[in-house]
Amino acid sequence: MEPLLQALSAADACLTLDELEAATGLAYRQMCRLLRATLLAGWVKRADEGCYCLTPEGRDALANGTPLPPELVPATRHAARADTMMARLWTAMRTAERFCRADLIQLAAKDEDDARRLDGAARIYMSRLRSAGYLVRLQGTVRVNPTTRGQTRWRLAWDTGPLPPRPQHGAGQRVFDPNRSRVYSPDALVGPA
Amino acid sequence: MKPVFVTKISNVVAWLAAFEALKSRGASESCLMLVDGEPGLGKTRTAQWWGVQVGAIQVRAKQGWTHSWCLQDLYEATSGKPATTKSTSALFKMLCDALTERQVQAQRTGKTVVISIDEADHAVAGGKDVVEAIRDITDTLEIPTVLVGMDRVAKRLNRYPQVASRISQKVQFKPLSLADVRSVISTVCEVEVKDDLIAFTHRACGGYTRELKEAIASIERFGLRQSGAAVGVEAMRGQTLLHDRATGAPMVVG
Repeated sequence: MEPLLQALSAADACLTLDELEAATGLAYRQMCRLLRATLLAGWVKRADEGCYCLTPEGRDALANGTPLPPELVPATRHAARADTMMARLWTAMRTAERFCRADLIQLAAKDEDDARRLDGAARIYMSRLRSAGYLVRLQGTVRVNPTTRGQTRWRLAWDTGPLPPRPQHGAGQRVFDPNRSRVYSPDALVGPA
Repeated sequence: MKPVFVTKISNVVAWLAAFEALKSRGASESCLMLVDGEPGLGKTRTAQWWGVQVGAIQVRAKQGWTHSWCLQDLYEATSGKPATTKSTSALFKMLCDALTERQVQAQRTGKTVVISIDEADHAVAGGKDVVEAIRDITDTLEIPTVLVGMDRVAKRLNRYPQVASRISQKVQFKPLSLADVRSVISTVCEVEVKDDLIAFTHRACGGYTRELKEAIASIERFGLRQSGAAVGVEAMRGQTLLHDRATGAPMVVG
């Protein structure tokens, strides 16, 4: 919120959305969410069509460092996506730190049917995270089933935050990390450190 | 072994019931729940499973935890970002802000913000500062907090009556009963197991989940070689089921 108010405060005239995006350095959507919240709080007003400026209340809030009222704090994707398979697998990885695929399924599954569905999803998701550098292979395997060779154990090397990194479809093996608002690709020399 | 967490065992049922009771507690400041028990009874695994299911903020206390370190770990677990300051007062404020944000999000999704601290023995051994830090957080924001530790943690916490009195629910993990062992085997084992072998396994594993998992793996290996037929004591006679926890000696079915 602070970068947005600062950008508006520093400007002589009202700013358009594109100008605000450039001035704040925030992602367009994130900037729009903040702008909407500050509009509702009465800190920002629309001076002209598509052009915004700070109100006296907004200047006071910036000067005093007043936080937005909790009900106006923009909802993050964390809240909206809390129950997806990917989110549960990512939370399980952050919780367990070192794991094999069966460990993740055991932690994240709600019931036996869900466990079966998660198995395929975990296989793909872990493969993409490994390519992007999030997972580090540990020595040895663990036999979870007598009829298979055993599962590899992994360590979550880059715990970047609560939001699950999202594989980008049709874009090679790239992964978008909403915690850092960055895309990581397998050919990068370094992971999301 | 099927990768399924078994919820129909007495320890997990007690945990879930205690947490429900904690949510409807009488005194608002009594928002601590204590879980203790011997190693190998599945406390950490249950904490991890439950944490993922309810979206709890999970931290693991470490040897040598200090007030500031505790706040840093909690802040990282809450926000996903590393703490940018080492000042205890600034950290406390940052943590409260991050937890408030989580509370607002949880309110939107109809969930509850919960903190789970595993290996709480280290937190208690960290001294009054660490224990009081946890109390400050739970008092300020009234966030239910689950402390998971070994069986001495309750005794140690009694040294701090102002914290011990805020524990409204206590769960003691006990060795699995025969019914629990039957429930686990019927849920996760890939082969059918006869009652006599379940009873033998219960005696051999002493109710410890670690040993029980080893026994199930042995039964599965044997059962799948017998083309999936139901396995009993007679069929497995002479086979190693698991290794004794104290001596490491193999325990043979018979």
